[in-house]
Amino acid sequence: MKIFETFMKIMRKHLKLSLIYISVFMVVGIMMTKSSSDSEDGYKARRLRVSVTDLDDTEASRAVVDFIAKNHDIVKVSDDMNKQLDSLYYSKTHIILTIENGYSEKLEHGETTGLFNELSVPGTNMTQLFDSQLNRYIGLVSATIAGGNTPAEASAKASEVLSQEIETVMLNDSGKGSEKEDVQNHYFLYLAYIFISVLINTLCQIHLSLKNKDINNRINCSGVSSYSQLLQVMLGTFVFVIGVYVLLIGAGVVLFGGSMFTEKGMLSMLNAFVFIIVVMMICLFISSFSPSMDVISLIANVIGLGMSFLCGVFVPQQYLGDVALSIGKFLPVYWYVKGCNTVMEKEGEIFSVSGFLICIGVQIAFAAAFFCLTMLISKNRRQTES
Amino acid sequence: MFLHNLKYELLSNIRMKDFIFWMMCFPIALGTFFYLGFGKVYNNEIVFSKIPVAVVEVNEDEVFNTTVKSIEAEKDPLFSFTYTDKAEAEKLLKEGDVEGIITVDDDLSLTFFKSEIDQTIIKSFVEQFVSQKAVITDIAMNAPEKLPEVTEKLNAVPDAIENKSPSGGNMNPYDSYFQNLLTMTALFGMITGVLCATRNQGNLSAIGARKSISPNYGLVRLISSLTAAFITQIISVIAATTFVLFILKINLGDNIAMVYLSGAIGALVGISIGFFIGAIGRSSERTKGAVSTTVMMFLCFLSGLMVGDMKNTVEEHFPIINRINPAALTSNLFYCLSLYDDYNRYMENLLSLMIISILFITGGFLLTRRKIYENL
Repeated sequence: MKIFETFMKIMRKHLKLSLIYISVFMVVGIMMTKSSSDSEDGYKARRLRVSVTDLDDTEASRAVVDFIAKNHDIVKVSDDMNKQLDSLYYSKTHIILTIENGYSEKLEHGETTGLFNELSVPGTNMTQLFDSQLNRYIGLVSATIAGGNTPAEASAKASEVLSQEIETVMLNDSGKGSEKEDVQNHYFLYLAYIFISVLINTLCQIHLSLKNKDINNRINCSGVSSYSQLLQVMLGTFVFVIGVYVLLIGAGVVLFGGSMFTEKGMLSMLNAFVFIIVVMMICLFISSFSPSMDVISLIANVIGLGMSFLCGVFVPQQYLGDVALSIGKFLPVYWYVKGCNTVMEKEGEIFSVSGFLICIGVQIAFAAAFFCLTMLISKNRRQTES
Repeated sequence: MFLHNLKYELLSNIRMKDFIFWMMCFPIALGTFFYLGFGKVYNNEIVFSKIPVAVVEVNEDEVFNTTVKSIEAEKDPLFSFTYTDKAEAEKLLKEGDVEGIITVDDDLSLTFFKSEIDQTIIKSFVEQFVSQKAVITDIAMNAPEKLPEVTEKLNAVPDAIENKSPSGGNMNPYDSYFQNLLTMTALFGMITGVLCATRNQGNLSAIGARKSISPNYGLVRLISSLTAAFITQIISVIAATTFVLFILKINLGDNIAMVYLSGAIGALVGISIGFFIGAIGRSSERTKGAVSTTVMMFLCFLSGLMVGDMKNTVEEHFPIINRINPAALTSNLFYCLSLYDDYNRYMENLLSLMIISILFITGGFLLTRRKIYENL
């Protein structure tokens, strides 16, 4: 088992970078888990973050603030224009609203123009939602005033009639689930990036070290048969891959506890296992080209970040453009992400055994394809060299 | 002597072909992935467009039908309605052809497949419709003589809000990914910076040993090495910036020259940090390179390369990190250029980056100076 021992020796040398990646990932995972809650709900109305400044400060204006607070989250924003701009840009605040002085008086006289001053990104869904809600509220209040009420009474009546609940049903359980489940899903999604980064950065370096001319010659002149050589290298590779898998899934068990052992959790783990095998095959494929050691981290970044962005790890698949999705379908990460979403019923996916098996099957096909290509390239190289 | 050294340092850098190729190729590849991935997300998902809704009539409601017709007759209607039966409506909903189903029975009810902003807009519309009906019923019972005036007010489209646009700049938050991509390209200078340090230290590389025995003045040697690294890095930054600006046509503000300058400043700070990392300790060039890549990726993660609003989240909880994180400061340069009308904040960030560069370069010089080797 000399080659296996050498493999492990080289692995220990290259382990630092992997451990940094894994530690950073775990810290981010812990932070995400700590900030999530267990609350569960079917349909959830989208609440915007609205900053309100009430310059009128009358009963009617306070009623409009209450109406906004009922539908949205009231947030505070600095008066500094640049900070307001940052806040709108990063969607920390969607609307910055000022209720103008004379709001109540204008309503009393039947005027509905220029009651509010709003700072928002024009033409967006959020602005449209808020403006239509507020305009309709004002329509109701002004109609009620026209019916002989004071602004305060009209505001109270408008709020009362607007509080009627509309029966809302979800067609299926899609979108249902606690925030913790969302975090668990994100944990599995981000595993794709971590698996690729860790495995390419470490496994490729180990394989390239073993292909080093001196080491290779030393192995070849030993009495170890080429079959045994291959087996020992494969064993080392499997030990490393299983080690990374167990470490990261173990971290998941620590973070999410029993929910990792539910049906959803187990299927997610299976999906992740199949995926790490695909990544292992990708590593072998890359190593077969014998790239320079210096560019391995760049290759890992191109493949890791590229596939993650194209296939919906960082940006949900439902938001990706058609071109990205069409390209993504030819990449294994797409099927891994689809598998995660199918299991957790996220992003409009509905769980079905056949749907999940298709995702797993396509990943296995990718693994087989990479394996065949690696064999082909290695054989060609050996023939060329000899 | 400086120019002689510079010439050979440049030649040596350019001859690292695979390294240069990946340095150039990576930002362009990633930029393309970004563009394909979410180049259109802002227009498709954030910019408002008419919401398709299915209507299933169990009982006919004339008032509702009139409201539907009046909405459809508007210049920029909020919704497009499709009247159909329940089974077809559910099929349309599942396939994503409509965003929700309004069922008109004795009461109105809603069916959704997901809970997003379009669904909230539909629900809000139905709530308002039901409320308007309630107000009309109330007035008809209590003050029927005022009914025409009330109906007129309800039908009028109020213009209660005066909208102000926050900036003439680019408000597309997805473009921050491109700002961070350019930041990362500039900070790749950390890798070249590491090479500057290790290839000038006799105990870390063969070329360092060769340089150490030459009758070259150490400071001149290091400065020429850093200058060559800066020039090499600038070429890569120019290529990436040109690709983002002119091929992908990402709006980074009107001042193109300042965009390139920002990339150059980022490259300088990247090289200085890399130089400092390379000068610490006796680890191999590869280990130092790996450490600098990991540090760089983590700094870029904090500035929003992987999660768009990470920089703002950091700003909320640990604002000090954004003041000292070179990736956040560099991406802020691009952000300020694309969003702000003045250069005050840009200059603040620029100054911070210059201070960081000076500190790290000085640190690197202090760590590498006066090294004498007994044997190599």
